[in-house]
Amino acid sequence: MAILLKTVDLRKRFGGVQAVQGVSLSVEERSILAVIGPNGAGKSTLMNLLSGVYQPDAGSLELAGHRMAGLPAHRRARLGLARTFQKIRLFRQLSLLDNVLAGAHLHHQIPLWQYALPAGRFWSDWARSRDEAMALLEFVGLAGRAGERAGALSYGEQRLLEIARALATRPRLFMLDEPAAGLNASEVGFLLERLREIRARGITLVVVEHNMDLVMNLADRVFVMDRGVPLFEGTPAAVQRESRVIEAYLGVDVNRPEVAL
Amino acid sequence: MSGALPPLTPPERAPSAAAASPVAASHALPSSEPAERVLRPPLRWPGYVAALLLIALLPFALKGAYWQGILVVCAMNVLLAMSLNLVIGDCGQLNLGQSAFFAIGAYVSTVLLKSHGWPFWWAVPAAILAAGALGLLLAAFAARLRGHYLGIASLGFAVIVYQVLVNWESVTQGVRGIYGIRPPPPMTLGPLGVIEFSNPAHLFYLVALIALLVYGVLDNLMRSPVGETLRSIREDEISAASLGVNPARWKAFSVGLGAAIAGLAGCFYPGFVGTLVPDAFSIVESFTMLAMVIVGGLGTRVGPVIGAVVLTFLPELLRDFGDWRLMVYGIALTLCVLFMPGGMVQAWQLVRARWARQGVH
Repeated sequence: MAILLKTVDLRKRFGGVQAVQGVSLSVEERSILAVIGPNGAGKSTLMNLLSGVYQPDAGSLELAGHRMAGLPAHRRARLGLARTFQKIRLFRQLSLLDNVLAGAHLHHQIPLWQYALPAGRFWSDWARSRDEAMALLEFVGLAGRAGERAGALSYGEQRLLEIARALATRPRLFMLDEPAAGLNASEVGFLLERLREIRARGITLVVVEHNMDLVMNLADRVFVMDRGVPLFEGTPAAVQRESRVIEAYLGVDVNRPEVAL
Repeated sequence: MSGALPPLTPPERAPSAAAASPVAASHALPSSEPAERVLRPPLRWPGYVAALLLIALLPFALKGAYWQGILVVCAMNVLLAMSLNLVIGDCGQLNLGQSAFFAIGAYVSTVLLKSHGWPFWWAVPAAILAAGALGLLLAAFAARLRGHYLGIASLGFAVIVYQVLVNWESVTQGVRGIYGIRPPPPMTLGPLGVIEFSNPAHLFYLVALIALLVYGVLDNLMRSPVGETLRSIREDEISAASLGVNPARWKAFSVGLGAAIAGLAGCFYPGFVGTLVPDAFSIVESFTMLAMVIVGGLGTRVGPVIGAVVLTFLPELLRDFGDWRLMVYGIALTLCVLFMPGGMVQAWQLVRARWARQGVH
């Protein structure tokens, strides 16, 4: 299969801390890559480098053959990259519907003058974008609450709304930063099912996650980081057997995989 | 509703909100607005008809040149409050220098009119463009600034503009001011006869209709994807950028358009007052506009209009207090912000929600 996301030797330093170093990734189209590692391993920095919140000090990154290093976040979204945030960043004062509508920013087709004076195309775009937004809210199970403010949602619901909003950009590559953090078991189950469904729709996923149940059930490949450097990459089963990974998590050399993962 | 289904809707497998989703099933809060209502474009023409009627009748209710003059000032303030609301309320960018654009509109139109002999209605678009261009310039310089820093930068910008007006005497005549500025030329409107803009009631009609037009355009714009984009920047810039929004471009759009509208308001001021001095555009004016926006309701459509009306008429109604007038005004303003942080529009919504709960209508 074709490679959708490719990075070579990504580096990022914050003052005296080498947050990310030597990260080379290849993510196949329509696959799911999980990125794991202990706290401070550089996972979120890697996400921010990929999505353009930070620019790398060195290294290259490409999405479907387009070079992304140096491009600001909004240009990368144009290339088909969407993301959610570890610390949820919804538009809290806006309704659920408006949150998702904002995600359709790149997909409106309205003649300029109709922005000031709504007419035919404006209204067909109005209906279409609302249909799509409602379908996405339905997809994450929040359609019935479309008119509520996003800030009023529970933590788990906010995570789902962030997913719906990101999907409204119609991404090719969708990156989720700890989507299961703060979710209860049944919510994690729903999330798992939805993420599989998203992949089934042809979208490639990169998931940073601590919840090993989710990672092992979802990922095709797992990328392990520790202290900013890649530690291991392989299938979920291979990662579970890998002693270096267990060592990174527990800090001791235990040869009993089931203890750690 | 028409339109193709998005690629992500699994029609047969889509969870009915309650059954398939444990998340959706767990909520018990009542909906603040039913989904059908947020999906339907609201009916707006009755509001516009009412506004037109109100504009038509106001000069008959408030007789005398003095009160009709207040009406003209009020209409200009409505334009200014709307222009500032676009920047602060909708796009969330703290702008403390809006008076500078009002000044640019006033001076550019007047100088073109008096020194270069331009007709008034040519000077107006030129003044709008000049103010808008200056707004874009400010936005370009301030692109990386946020919050308080942007506030200070825009304040500094207003100080610079004020100093230029004071010191560029060959053009602005400095603190001596420009005198003998005439109102817009009379218009002949078919059966209505000749409209004389030296009559404050007629000037009010002109400025108020323009304000209503601007209101309509902004109303449409903020309901369109442009409004969705500006509000997303206000709420969270990093998030907005992750959705493909170019924050710098859209901030420049809102500052530029806000500046152009303030410049438009500025075109009518000199002809109304008859003279033009830099002191009319001191920093305090920027704060008065800010107060109008906040008292009315940041980021709402009618809020700034109401705020402008209230803060234009309040000082007039307080004249009986004599020297205490400004203090009463200040206290009223403070109480307003203390007890209605969301402005009068939000306060009204809260009252209405309480009535609805109690079953009173």
